[in-house]
Amino acid sequence: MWQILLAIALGFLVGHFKLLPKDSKITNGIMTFGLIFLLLTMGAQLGANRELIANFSTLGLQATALAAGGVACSVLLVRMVEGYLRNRLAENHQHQRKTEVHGND
Amino acid sequence: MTKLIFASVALGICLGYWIIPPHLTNYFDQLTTLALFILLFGVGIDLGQQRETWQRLWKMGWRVILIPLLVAVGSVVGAVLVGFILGMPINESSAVGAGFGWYSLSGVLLAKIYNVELGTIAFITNIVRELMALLIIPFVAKYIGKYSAIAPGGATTMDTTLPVIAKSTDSDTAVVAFINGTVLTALVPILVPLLIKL
Repeated sequence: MWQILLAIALGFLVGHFKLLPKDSKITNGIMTFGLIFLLLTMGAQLGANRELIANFSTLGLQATALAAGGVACSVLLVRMVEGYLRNRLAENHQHQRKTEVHGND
Repeated sequence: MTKLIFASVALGICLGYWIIPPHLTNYFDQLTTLALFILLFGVGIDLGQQRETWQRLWKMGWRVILIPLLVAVGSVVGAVLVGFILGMPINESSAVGAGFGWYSLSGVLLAKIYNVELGTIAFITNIVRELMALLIIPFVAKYIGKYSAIAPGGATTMDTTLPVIAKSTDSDTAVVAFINGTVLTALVPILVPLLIKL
């Protein structure tokens, strides 16, 4: 677990302090290679597992139900604060505009 | 990129099914670990380079962080509730839910640190989530609310589902959606390994 966090944190520092050029082709290339390699390995392990392949439709149904649960619950929670957020963010927006106008005076 | 992702998985399945002997895939362990760290390092660079987004988040005030927090809680709780009905252990369903629609990363992370079956479930779940989001965002925006329309997309609201949100809502909501996607993207590689260890 700590190695995962360390890899992200190191990357974050490199990105934040611009130690590598933005949109570097080398960085993008290495990242794409890493992702493709992992996806190929995951696919190969899946393909080699006959039992998993046989149950693929069950996995699909399970996955669809999990996705629907996540979507429904997150919409419900955000809906509960929709009104509060609309008022507060509009207030914030107006305050920012006023600050900008005064700043221009 | 999407085509490349699907093609890689499909090619991998074909190789595993017909060509590579099953015992051989286990020898890739060190290479996949290295590839995972390189990928996560790249994710970190991407997040670190989003200086403007983090500054915008600071300017908009702390309340804007409520949306990604509620989307994160909702996604995990929703997956746990469905997982409970399906008889899945809480660590597995919550980790799948914490993919927030980022199917490539959540799939490979779980396949690597847990098992290939859960990695596959996470991959499909998060693909389905993205497809669902693309289909329902216009309806959620129209009948439920514009901020609620950000929720279905999860981490994808900073890229693939952002155009649909921008079209269905307004420019202010699109900015909030982008921030939501960035925060959730930062949470995926932290929450998925954390929840699977529960």
